Amino acid sequence: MLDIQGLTKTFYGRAWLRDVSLSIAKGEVVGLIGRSGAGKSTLARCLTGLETADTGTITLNSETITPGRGAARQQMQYLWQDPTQSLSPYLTAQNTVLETLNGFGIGPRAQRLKQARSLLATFDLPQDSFTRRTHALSGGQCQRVALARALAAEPQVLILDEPLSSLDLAAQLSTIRLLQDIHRKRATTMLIVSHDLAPLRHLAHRIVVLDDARIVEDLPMSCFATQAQNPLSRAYAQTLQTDQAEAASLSAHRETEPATGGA
Amino acid sequence: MIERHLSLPALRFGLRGGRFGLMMGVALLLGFVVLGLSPLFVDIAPPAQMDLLARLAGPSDTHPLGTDHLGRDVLSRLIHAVPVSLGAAFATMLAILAIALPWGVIAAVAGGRVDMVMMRLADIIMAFPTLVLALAIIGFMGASLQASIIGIAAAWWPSNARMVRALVLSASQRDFVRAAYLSGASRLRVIVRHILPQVLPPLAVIISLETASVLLALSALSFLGIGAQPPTPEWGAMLNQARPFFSQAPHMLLVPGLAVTAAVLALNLIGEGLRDLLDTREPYEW
Repeated sequence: MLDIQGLTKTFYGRAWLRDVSLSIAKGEVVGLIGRSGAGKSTLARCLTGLETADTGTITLNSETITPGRGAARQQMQYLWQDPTQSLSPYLTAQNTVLETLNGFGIGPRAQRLKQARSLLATFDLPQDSFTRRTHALSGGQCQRVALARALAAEPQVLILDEPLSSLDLAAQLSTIRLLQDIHRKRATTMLIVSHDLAPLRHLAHRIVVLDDARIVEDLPMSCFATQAQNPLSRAYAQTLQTDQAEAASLSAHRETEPATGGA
Repeated sequence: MIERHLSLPALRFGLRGGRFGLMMGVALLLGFVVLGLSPLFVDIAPPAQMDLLARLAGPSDTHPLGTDHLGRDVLSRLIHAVPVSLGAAFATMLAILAIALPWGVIAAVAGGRVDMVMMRLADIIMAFPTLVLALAIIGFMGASLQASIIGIAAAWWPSNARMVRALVLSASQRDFVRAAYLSGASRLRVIVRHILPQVLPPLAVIISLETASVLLALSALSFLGIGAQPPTPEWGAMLNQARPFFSQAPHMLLVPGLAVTAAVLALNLIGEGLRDLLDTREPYEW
């Protein structure tokens, strides 16, 4: 479905992407991990037209596209790392979603406001927040408005740049559930950029590791822990095992904890 | 350090937040507006009415601010000059903005060659000293207040266009502006709903400060005799007419001079006050 061939990007005298090639199937959720400065966000931004790649081609459904232009602007939506900065402080939550519906001409004009409100409602946002300006919403709520806006465009591919990094633990968990829900209901193809493997184990079908501007590992999530070859990938796999061990120990600890009564 | 020694709360407030200055500026400007509108409600002598027997008379009951060399009431001329002088300054600023705002916005949004060509054209005009270019235009059109408005506007807009461009460039780099475009908003909508709301507050500061400078430039042209022509009451022209009589009738020079100073002070206080209000950064501490 989405095919990236030989993408390179150099700026400030440094290569941020070196001959990156990647294919993502329809409905697949791919986790893109790597260290800070590995080129993850650059790849995501090149796919949405926020950066222009020096060389390489991007095809969507076998058609070469120019990211951020023409039909690709609607078909590939991007969720920004900091949701609070990506929402206009001059618009209310419902007008933010409405802007996308109007911009891409989605649904009958008279129904769009209702459509925007119902979309926000599906993201568990309280009714009174619809008419509030986005700077008056919490980080988690902003994340949901940003997701609602991205999905209002009915994209084929959703690119999420570190969707959990600016959220607290509770908001992270609810966002993971939300993304699982979106994928289950809409089968949207997703590319999730993350510096941490742990949250991706609940979401991704496949993990791609980027290091020093190159793809160094590309494995299904199910066998990543056992088959990773690259030292960086193995380090990531170990963090996964540690996390699982910690979770198991925590759960065992809870089971053995004496009942204190009350709450 | 200076602030710590001030005991008046209003002064401390004014120096810290700029609100006192802003309120003073607004009050002064409102004072001029009331003064300018007063002929509609109060019986004031016509500004061109001469009384040659009372030439160069000092302040009296009949002429509270005295008379000029033709026996015209200075207060009446001062009041009737308010809409002329301030109106000309605001009209010039409007004309400057009418060119500078779209010029700066288009250059910043279009970028590339369009930006380069538009900015080089602005640079060429900026290369001329403002008053020299204005004088050339007035020379071509003939001395009048309208010609000086056009002359000043034609020479003044490039610097404002540059500022607008810089503000738009900075505003368009914000994530939410780029996100709005990627989320389907048209370029026009992005400009109107996401960029202009960011640009207008700092622009209000610039407009206020620039209007003060424009008022001074227009008064200077009238003082040189190439702005408002007699018998039109205008502060700069009044200063010019008072020049030969300064020793005999200093009030003729002081009254319009103080009016220009007060109007410029009002606009500067408003500009500075707005800047302090809109600037949320912590003030630099010595």
